[in-house]
Amino acid sequence: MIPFAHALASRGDLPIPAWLFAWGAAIVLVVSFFALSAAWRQPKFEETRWRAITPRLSRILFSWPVASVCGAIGALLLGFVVYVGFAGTDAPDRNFALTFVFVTVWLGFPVLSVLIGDFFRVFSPWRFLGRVVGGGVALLFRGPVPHLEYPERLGRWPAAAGLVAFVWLEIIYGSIGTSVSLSPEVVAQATVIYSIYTFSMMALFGVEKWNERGEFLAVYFNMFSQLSIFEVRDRSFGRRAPFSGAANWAKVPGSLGLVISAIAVTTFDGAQEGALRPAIEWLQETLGDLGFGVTEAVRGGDTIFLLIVIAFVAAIYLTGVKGMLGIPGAPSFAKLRESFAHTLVPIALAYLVAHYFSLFVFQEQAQFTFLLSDPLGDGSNLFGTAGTGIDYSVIGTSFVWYVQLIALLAGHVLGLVLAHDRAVFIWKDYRMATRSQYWMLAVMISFTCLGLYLLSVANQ
Amino acid sequence: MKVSTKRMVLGAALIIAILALFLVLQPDDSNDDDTTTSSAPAVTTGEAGTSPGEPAKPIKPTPPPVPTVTVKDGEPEGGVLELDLKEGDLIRFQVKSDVDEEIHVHGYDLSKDISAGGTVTFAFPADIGGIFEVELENSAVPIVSLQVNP
Repeated sequence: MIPFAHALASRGDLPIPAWLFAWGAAIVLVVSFFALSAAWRQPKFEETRWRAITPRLSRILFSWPVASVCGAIGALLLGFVVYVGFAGTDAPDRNFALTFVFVTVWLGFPVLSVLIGDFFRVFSPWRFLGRVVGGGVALLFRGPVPHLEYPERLGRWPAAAGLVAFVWLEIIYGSIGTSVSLSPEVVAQATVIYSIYTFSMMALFGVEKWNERGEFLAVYFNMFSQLSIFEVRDRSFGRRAPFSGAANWAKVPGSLGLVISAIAVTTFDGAQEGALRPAIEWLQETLGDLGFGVTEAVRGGDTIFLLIVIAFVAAIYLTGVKGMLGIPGAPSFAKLRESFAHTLVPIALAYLVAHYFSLFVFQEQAQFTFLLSDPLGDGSNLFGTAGTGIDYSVIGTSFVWYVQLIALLAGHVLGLVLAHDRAVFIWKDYRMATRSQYWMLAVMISFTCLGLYLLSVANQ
Repeated sequence: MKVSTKRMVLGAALIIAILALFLVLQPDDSNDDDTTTSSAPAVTTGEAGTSPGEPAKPIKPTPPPVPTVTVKDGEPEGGVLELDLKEGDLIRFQVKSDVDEEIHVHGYDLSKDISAGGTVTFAFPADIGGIFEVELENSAVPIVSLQVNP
């Protein structure tokens, strides 16, 4: 059973055929050895070299009226999701809320963040409403109200936990008995609960602080925006050297946890459709035999395997770090672990694109046709597109394979580039830097081949 | 230093481009082979009927039995029927049911009502690749899985 994807898009990807798998793996090896043989000896991406562009446009874009409009759009959409979730149809595929949250936002915004930078900061409904309320309170008390000091050791851990909880809700909680998907009503309830939690945390620790550390959507999209060449500083839009943004991202505690979780949840979703399905079904049956109800057994089995996959992904990376520790001149394990965490961000992006590309293409057609005209699924036709459905023939099955392969390869190369740059920064001795990179090479090859493998056994 | 790194990036890009080109070429070959082998018998049997010069093959064009799935107590007997086809083939299958239901072919978006004790036959060209489910719409129970390969 493929709970979530099937509730929405009705076309499943064909598994990558053996010959393409072999080609993919061969290219990975060739590219990797090329990267080893010819590489730069001075770090290139450690300095951000940011410079402002289009100052006049920035003045308009980051003026308070424009920022307010953007924030208000975000807040309205949040309210709309809750309303449609409660008031709209129970059919997941006919309800605006599900596709908007789990496809348009969850799958589309990471890619958009890479392309144009961290735009979600301006559109975040929680940040906007938090600032409005914060401003009101400050007016009332004639001065800003002091907040609790955010424990810096927590870092991005709350966001990592939020991300796992979100995906757990999406693909595990949804399986109730034989029903295969999350109901729109649950999405609305979860949105309300999450909003209350977020506003409380913002009240405690400050709006901006929580937005940067704990609000998982903001933190998750911000992670992907580190790969962008665009960055906003002091309300000014600017360009930076490619890849230079990611270099400093992982200094905050919990960043590694976040990126590992991001890779792991996609891995789990891919694996449950193929590689791990027999094992998961076995565990679920075992739990059922032990006396658990169907729903508990299904959710419990899935949850245990989600945790196993998170541990597995962490183990791949930490094995590489452990290996690098043996190279003369290496810093401490904790320092090394943090130093290479950002090299996994491209892998997370690659996994996301490879796994969800076709779902996104199909479901966005729904988003902008019948879900836009008939968001509640009650037969209304606001823009005259309610009768238009998803055209499943827009992309061929082999086209999907190439997108998957190219995404994984691009992530692989980018990860290697970032890792090499960090290595020559840490090890001043170039020979040692190269030796350390055998380990990161092994990590990247593992992730890329794991991704290819999951795609080759998917949906079978 | 700067020039050499640029050259390196260019080199890497070139390698990827070349290999990507290989990739694009590869499936075309295998596809062509497949289509010629699969369409060849169709052509020869067609000619065998019209031209008397060719020795007529003794095989009668009896269509293979239509795959059938029987729904009993709301569940497909013997599990989900799996059909593996190629794009361009004719998808044919039969459903027998002991309950009133609506049968929905996802992706192709075809629906037929079935009444208890009745039989319904689907026949349509496989013109979209991918994996599709056929469901009993009211109970959301999958009964057939269609895999349409390129």
